[in-house]
Amino acid sequence: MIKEKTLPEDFRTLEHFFEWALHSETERTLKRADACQEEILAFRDAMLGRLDDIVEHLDRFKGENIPEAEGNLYAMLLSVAEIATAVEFYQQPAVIDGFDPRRFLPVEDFILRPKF
Amino acid sequence: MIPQTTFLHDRYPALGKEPVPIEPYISEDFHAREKRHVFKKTWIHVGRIEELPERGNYLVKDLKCIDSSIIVSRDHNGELYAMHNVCAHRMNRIACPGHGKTRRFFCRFHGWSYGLDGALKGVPDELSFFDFDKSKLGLARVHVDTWQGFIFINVADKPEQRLGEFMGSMYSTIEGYPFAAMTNCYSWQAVVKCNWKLALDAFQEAYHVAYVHGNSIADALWRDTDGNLRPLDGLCGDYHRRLSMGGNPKSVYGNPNAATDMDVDAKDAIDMTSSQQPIAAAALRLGKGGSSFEASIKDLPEGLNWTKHPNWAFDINMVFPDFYLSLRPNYYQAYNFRPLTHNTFLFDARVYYPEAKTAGGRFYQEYMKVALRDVLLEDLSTLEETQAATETNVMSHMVLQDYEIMVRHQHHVIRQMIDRGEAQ
Repeated sequence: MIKEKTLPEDFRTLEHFFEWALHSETERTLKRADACQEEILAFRDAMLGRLDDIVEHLDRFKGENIPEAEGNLYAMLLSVAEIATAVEFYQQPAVIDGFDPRRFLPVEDFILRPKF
Repeated sequence: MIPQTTFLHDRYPALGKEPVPIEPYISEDFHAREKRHVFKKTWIHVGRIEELPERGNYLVKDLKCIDSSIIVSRDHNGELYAMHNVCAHRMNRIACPGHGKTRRFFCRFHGWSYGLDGALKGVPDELSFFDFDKSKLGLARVHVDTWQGFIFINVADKPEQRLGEFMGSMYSTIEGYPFAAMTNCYSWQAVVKCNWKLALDAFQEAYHVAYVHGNSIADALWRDTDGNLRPLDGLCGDYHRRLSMGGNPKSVYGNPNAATDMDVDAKDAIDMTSSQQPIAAAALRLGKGGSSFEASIKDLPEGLNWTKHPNWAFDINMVFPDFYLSLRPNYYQAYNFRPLTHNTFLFDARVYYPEAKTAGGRFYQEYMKVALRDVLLEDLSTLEETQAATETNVMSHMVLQDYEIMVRHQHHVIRQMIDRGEAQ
């Protein structure tokens, strides 16, 4: 399903980084693996000061019925977690001297994996 | 206070202190004997009961370590059954690997059908068979049992021990850990060109942490006054082994109270990391109170942190033969090092958290889980090179230090089982 490029009203300024609104860990992992550090840092800079607002906003929506715009924002929040170690451990997109993440991908359809 | 005045090895004189031969890591013949006398004779972890929540649910695992494909099902009375995935007629596979729900298993070759307990139910054109007795022709059953919600199978005709005895000998004091509360499971898989024991060895000592994890979590683990990164203690049993690990409470990754009790140290961790690791600090801060299950160290079974060390962070439990189970107050890791051949294995890694009830709780989980995955990418990074170097046969033995005792213990137990099996 193609996601509309929408974010909640108060977060429209983040739309420049909409490419990080990725709804699966596999997509987020591959995005990080293919990104350069400058892109990652720009995304971090845009998101870091908004994390408290984002979490507070998303907590107004519960369960499966999260609107599409909020779902996109949620995916961007999780992308911040995805890039955290690239910025705060490794100072580069990939794990230093690490195993190839493309060979260690998530089992997305595992029955106990949370839907979001 | 930490009892580090003597060597761990002195407690286990039967293990010896000599260098350990590398042949078990590179020999096809050794692996064949290992499958026959170890994997086909012991209990093997295949999943959690939460994977089969309803009657009619089943899972299928292809397990090269026992040369079999196994179905585990929950029948209409709620009972668990395990059986070989081989039709009793002309041996076709009847179910695909993965999870499903059904009332019956059907063979696509000639339409034979089986109940969830493996009993043969339907045979097209049954009257054309000779002296035919359906009750004698079900799927071949294997032993199945659960321990603390983990499903184990055993393909021996008559297991040497019941699962409860097998696990209880080492792990009775951790029974009661809140496994059932940890229902958010993230998992990854990789096929790695490395012997399964060589890989497992890399997860049962802390000696490598300062080097392999020097860019990530080395600072999150506890060091003694001389700066050495050692386990707090280690235990070797007849089959299993345990390591107790200390953490640096002033770190996000190493503080066992993070996102739970939020003690003084966890607050310090947030303050200290917020300048250099602002995302980590935000994850810890926003995760507070965001979990459906609020774990607390004081409520854990007494067998965790058995030395009662104030800076304890987690236990590593090596459930024989290939199941790594690491327990923390607010999440646990469950890895299988599943042999495929003598020099390849499937790394099946899972981490279980409670359900997140807030976006902040989910963000904390995602941060911790991604950090863990990246740490695993560090762990996996040396394995294929080490295997290739081992296969050059330049070295015939490994030299082990005291805190690599678990490597020695694994070697010892497997060797013993093979010797015992071959003597029979």
